[in-house]
Formats: sequence, C-alpha cells, structure tokens
Amino acid sequence: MVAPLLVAPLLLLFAIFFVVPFVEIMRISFSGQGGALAGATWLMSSSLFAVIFLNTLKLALTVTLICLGLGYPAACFIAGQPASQRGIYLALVLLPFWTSVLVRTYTWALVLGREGLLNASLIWLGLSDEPQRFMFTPLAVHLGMVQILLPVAILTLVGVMTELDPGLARAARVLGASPWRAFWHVYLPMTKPGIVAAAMLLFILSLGFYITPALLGGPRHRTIANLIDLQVHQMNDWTSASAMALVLLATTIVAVVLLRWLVPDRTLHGGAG
Amino acid sequence: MHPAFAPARTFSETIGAPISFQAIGKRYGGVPALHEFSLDIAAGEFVTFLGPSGSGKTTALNILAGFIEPSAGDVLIDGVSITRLPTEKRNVGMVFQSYSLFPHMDVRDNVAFPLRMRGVPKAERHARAEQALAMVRLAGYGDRKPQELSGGQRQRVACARAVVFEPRVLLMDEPLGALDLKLREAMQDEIREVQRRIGCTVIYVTHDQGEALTMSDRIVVMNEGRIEQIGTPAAIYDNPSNAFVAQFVGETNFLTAALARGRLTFAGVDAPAPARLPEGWRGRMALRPEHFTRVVAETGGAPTLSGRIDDIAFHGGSYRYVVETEKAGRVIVQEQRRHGSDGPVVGAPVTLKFSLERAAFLEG
Repeated sequence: MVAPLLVAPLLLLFAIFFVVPFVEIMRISFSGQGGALAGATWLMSSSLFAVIFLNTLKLALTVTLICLGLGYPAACFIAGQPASQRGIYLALVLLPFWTSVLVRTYTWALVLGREGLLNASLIWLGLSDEPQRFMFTPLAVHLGMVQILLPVAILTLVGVMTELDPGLARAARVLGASPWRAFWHVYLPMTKPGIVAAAMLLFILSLGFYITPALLGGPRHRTIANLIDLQVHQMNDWTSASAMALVLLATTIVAVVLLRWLVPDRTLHGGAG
Repeated sequence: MHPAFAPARTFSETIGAPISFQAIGKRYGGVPALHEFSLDIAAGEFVTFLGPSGSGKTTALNILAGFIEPSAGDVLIDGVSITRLPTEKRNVGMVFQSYSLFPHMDVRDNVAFPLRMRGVPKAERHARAEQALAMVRLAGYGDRKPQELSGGQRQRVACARAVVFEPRVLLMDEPLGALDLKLREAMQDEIREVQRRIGCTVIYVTHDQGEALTMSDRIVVMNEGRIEQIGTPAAIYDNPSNAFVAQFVGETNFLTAALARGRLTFAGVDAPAPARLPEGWRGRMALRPEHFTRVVAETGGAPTLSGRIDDIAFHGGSYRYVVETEKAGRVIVQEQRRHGSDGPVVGAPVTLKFSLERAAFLEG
C-alpha cells in the first residue's frame, strides 16, 4: 500500500504542471477564432513557420552530431581514466553545466561581439584587419548550443562507457584485432546504447532551445521556440503558438520512435552479461 | 604459412609451440609483481600457474598475452622473441574467467571473430566456427546470443573462439572460476580433451590446487612474484620443496623434527632417521592426511601419535577427521572406508601410525 504513495507527489506535480497545461494547449490550438482547424491552417499556410521549422530541425540535428563527435572521444578518455581520477575530469565537465545557460550565452556574446575577445585576438594576431561579423550568424548559434549541450553528451556517454567490461576490448586484441579494429568491431557497437541515449537527449533539448538562438542568432536565425514566443507576445496569437508547440512535441515523439526503430531494444539493453 | 591462413583442418595435428620465459621481471611502482621469472615450456605441454592472488601468475600470463609490458627479460614463442610484438600479432588464443564474449554478436560471430580479424572469407569462417562449436558440443548454437547461454555453455563458446584459428599457444586465465563445482569438474575433462585434440601448448592459471593437480602436465607453484616449485602434479604433491608448497597444494600436517646421532625425534617420538637426511638436520616434516593409519592394536614398529578424535567429516568413499594429539597438536587424517571395519568415533582415543618414507622433510 505504501508503494503507490511514493509516486503520488510526483503524479500530482505532473497533473498540475504538465497534464493541465498540455490539455489547455490542445484546447487552444483547436478552438481558435477561425474554428477547430485554425491552428492547423495557419501552420500549413505560413511560409515563416515552414522555414523556421526546417531550420530548427537542421540546427537540432547538426548540434546533436557535433556534440556526439566532440563528446565521444572526450568521454572515451574520461571513462579510460582510473576511477579515482575520473571525478576530477567529470567535475571539469560539470562546472560549465552548473553555470546558468543565460550567463553562458551572454559570455558568448562577449566573445563573439564586434569588440569581443575573438575579434580583438584576430586583429592582434594580424589575421584580420577589421572586426569580423560573428554575432547573429549560424556559427554563433551552433557554438553557443554545442558548448551548452556538450556536458550532456559527455556525461551520458561516460555513464555507458564506464559500465563496459574493459576485458572485452582486451579479448578482441588478443584474438587478433588491431587497436582500431577492436574499437570499431567491439567498443563502438557496445557504446551504441549510450550514443542513442545521448542523441535523443541532445536532439530533444536542441529542438526546444530558446535563449541561445534568440541572443546569438538574432531575428534572422529564429527557432520554433522563438517563433512561439513571437506569436504569443507580439501577435497575441495563442492558437498558432499552441499548434506549433504540438508540432514540436510530435517531432520529438517521432524522433524517439525513429531512433528506437533504428536501434532496437535488444541492442539497447543487451549489456555485458 | 601463417597458421591462420592454412586451409580448414580437422583439429588433429600437433600445432603446439614451445614457450620460454627468460628472467621476466615486472614492477609496479617500486613493488615487484614478478621476479626473475624463468620457465621453459615444451611444445604441446599443459602447464598450470598455481598460486594465491598476488602471486604473479596472472601477471606472467598477461605479459605473454601482451597486456602488460615486462620491466625486464624476454618471452619467446617458438624461439622468437615476442616481447615487442603487439598483442594481436602474437597469435595466441585466450580464455578469460569472465568469458569476455561480445554481447552484441551471436555465438557464431563470436567464434568467427578471430578468423574475421585474420581476413578469412565469411563462408569459410562460418564453417570453421561451426566446426569449433561442434568440438565443444555446441553445434547448432550459432544463432544464439551469449546472454541466452548458461555459464558452462558460455565458457565452451569462449574456448571455441580461442582455438578456432588454431593458435599454437592457448592461455586460460581462471577459466572455470565462475562455475559451480560439478560443472567445473566436467569442464576440466573437456578442456583437456580439446587440448589433446588440438595439441596446442596451454598455460592455465588457477588458484585451485585441485584443478591444477587434475589437469596439468606440470605445475608452476607461485607465491609473491616468485616460482616456489616446478614439477609434475605427483612430484609436487609428494615432494613439496618448501612449507608454502606443502600447504598450498593439498592438505598437510607439519611436525617439527630434529635429527641427532642417527635418530629422528619429533612429538615425543624417537625413530631411526631416514637415510636421505643429513646428521644435525632440523626442520619440519610434512605429512599428508592419507599418510596416517588408525591402528587398533599392534603398530609393527612404525612411529605413532596418540590422541582423541574430534570433528569427523564423511566423504562417501572416505572419512576425514581431526585428531587432537597429545604431543603434536591437531592432525588431519584421511581414512579410506573399509568394508566390515568400524569407522572413527568422535571422542574415541586413537593411535595413528605412519611411515617416515612418505614424509617430506622441509628446512626451517
């Protein structure tokens, strides 16, 4: 009888702060002034939405891939350290993670700005005669998002990698695999669950990014989250905003299902055993 | 020709290679894990490294496998130094205590892995994997995942994988440590059988002296990074060269003894000294539990110890009991059951007789 009570607070919290608003959003998106399909009609007809939606998907995908590409070797390195020293490296990864996203984003603005650190360095090094434009470019958005999300990638991957039996790579070596082939045929496939988990997390988080694109990308590099904000605060159009929120949710679900389908459960849970 | 590229054979030829450890040393920080380890192993020999944990047995094996670089010395396989060769080029098979099967591959791909790494085409490597699986009585298990197999089956897959490329040297690192007793005994026979069929040289690491005695052609008893004794199982059991070996291999009763004027005195007994001992010798006699015989009446001149029976364990074909002796402390005795005679009784006074000819005499 106690067990159900243990999850009761969480269920209550979810009911109040997730289910209720979610139902409200559903209701709004299907009951605008233009009828039940007003939200859907707006989505279909808005070229702005189409462009921004595709850009958001592209951004989320590239940021996910860059984070995995940068995070995987770093995670390999950390997982390969003796347990006593792993904590130091994890702390180094966590340090920026504990810093507010807003602070980190503004810091990038300081670095990338016209009078920023990067421009100053380029001019001082003689690599550039005049300040280059970095702010409000895709580069700035990618840099900011990758820096913010990288710890998520590393922590997820390290978690899986430290669970691996190091004996497996040794077994591969003694049975005739070069270090590279032992990695390719044994280590990499065995870290697949970690890669999938990290990819899901990164993609879902990237899809909903708001502050970083808003501050570093400016009006020309908006994401869906920025557009939702725009519709609500500038246009006072809750119908289309809710419709977009639902599209975002649907995209997330599709992404998760797709990844699950690409990497079946069997491999996800077929750990060493 | 490189053995891996030889045409598929039925595992029958002698392909073992001689191995030579030459004054191998290994230090971790300042602490020696292995000291002046020298050993020559003949082609096709089954040699066991036996010792407690920290004895250096696994270090020696890992140096041969290439997982650890020695601080000093050289290792030769078939007369060629392999100390500088990367692990994958040493062409040795290896079985691990934790099986180390690849969980993301089915059994067939696991067994075929060494062949794949050696560029054997798919059809041939699958055929050879199936052959190796048949040898360990797992024909038809190729499509299973390792996780779907029992511990014994997994270890047999690991054996098949280790020998599928017909290595001339097979290393086994406590391969049966994770299995229960019955299965372990069955697997001991199976491993010997496989080794006989392939003829490869085997180095087998264990801390289980029973396993070492059962399986080995020769045993290398190790302790604290040093070799204590090398010999056949019978030689090591019958003539342990020091107290450590006597204690570690089999059960031993120690009796302090001294020889003076042709007489050996121990535990209040005074007996004619065996000819092989020098005058003035002092040390300990090691006597196995089965060296004692419980006598009811006449001892026939053999030395005796008397005491009371304590603690009897029934072992089916034999009894094992402890005798609290008057002069030599507790003595462990193993007695074959004989039809029609009474077994030992707890608390009963007893006289034990034994022959000095079978005792091992240890210095110090």
